[in-house]
Amino acid sequence: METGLQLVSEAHGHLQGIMQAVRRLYMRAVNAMLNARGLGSEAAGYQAVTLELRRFSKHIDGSSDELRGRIRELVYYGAARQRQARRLVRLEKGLDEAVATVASAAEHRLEDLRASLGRQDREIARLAKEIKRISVRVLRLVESGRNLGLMLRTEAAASSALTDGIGDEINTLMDCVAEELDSIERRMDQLNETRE
Amino acid sequence: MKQSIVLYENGDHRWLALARDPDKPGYVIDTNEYVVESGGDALMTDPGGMEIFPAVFSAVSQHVDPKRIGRLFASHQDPDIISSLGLWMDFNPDVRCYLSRLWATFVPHFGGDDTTFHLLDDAGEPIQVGNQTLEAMPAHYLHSSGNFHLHDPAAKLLFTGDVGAAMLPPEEDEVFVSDFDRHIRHAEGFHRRWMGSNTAKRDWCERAAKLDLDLLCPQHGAIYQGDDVMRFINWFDELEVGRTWQ
Repeated sequence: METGLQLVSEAHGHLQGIMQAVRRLYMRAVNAMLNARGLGSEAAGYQAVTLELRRFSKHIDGSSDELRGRIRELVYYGAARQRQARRLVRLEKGLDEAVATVASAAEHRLEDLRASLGRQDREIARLAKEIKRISVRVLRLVESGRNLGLMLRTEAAASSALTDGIGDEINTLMDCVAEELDSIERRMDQLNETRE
Repeated sequence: MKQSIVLYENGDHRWLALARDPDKPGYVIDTNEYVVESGGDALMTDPGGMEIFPAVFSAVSQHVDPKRIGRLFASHQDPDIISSLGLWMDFNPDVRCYLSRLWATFVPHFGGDDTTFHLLDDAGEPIQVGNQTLEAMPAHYLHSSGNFHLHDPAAKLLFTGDVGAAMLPPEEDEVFVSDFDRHIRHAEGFHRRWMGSNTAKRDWCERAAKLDLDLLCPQHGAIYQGDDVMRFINWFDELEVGRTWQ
């Protein structure tokens, strides 16, 4: 069975895929914008869309950074929870074997550990919820990215000089981001299920 | 969050240092963890204590899929070295740990069983990490009676456990040694007290001096690089160890 830390770690792995795609998009948008500057007035539409793509890439980069911050926090909390859970299991096991007087004296420590574990669980649930919320926002941006890709394809078709295939490339990058987001969301759902 | 610094990179062969956790509680000694990667394989040296597991795990995750860390290298048996073993095994039950044979029945108190450990004989042995052959180098009595360092000839790097360690004050908490004379003051008391044998120390210094090293990486304090590596070996060779401060 997957542990919480494994799910969190897997979500972090999928985040790397998003960050790579977003970085690639950013570089591609800068290059497209610079290339478009050298084109004549017949490519004015293409120039305008590349400018928009540049703005868009900054926007999705910012949201992905936010997602990264929350997932990093979640990795830390996941590891901290595992440490606490291990302590609790050891203490419970020890108390099972201890004489009644010792067991009752240590009961408050057990309660502290359970309470601390509960706090960590609530923190993890909060972060998982926040990550899902940011994921939804990034997914909406993905749709905007696809629209920009479509516009770039349309504008490129109007000028034979624009055959760099950027429209298709943007779509591929957006598909990649969407897939990774889906994987992260599924892990967040599983994480909540294991806590219930 | 612990800082992560790439110490060496050549193709898929990489050494990563995890150091300096600003959020670490003051009652826990600061530690450096190192990860060596090659050919999709990864090994972590002295993964640290249970208390710092969350900080180490989250820092390592930024650079390496922790599932890929299939092996741990424990320089010796102390809790700040390997008491997180059980937690690493909770995450990856297949993880294996290199360790002096002396500690075969001691370290399982932190986790693991007789299938977890690859026990090193006193002479040490080569350790394959992906395409790289590293060497578990004996460093017994420095400070532990069953103690190993890890040498990577291609990276010219020697992981030295507690040898080279310094207890740095917060205002001098640098990752690399920048002023040897100033730095070594913070290492002197520790080495005099913790290193138990002048004979073992001289033998180690002779062997270390013959290695072609760019980096000497202790488990506490700052990393020695370039000429400071030899400066440290010479300083250590001269130091009388096995005594209290006074």
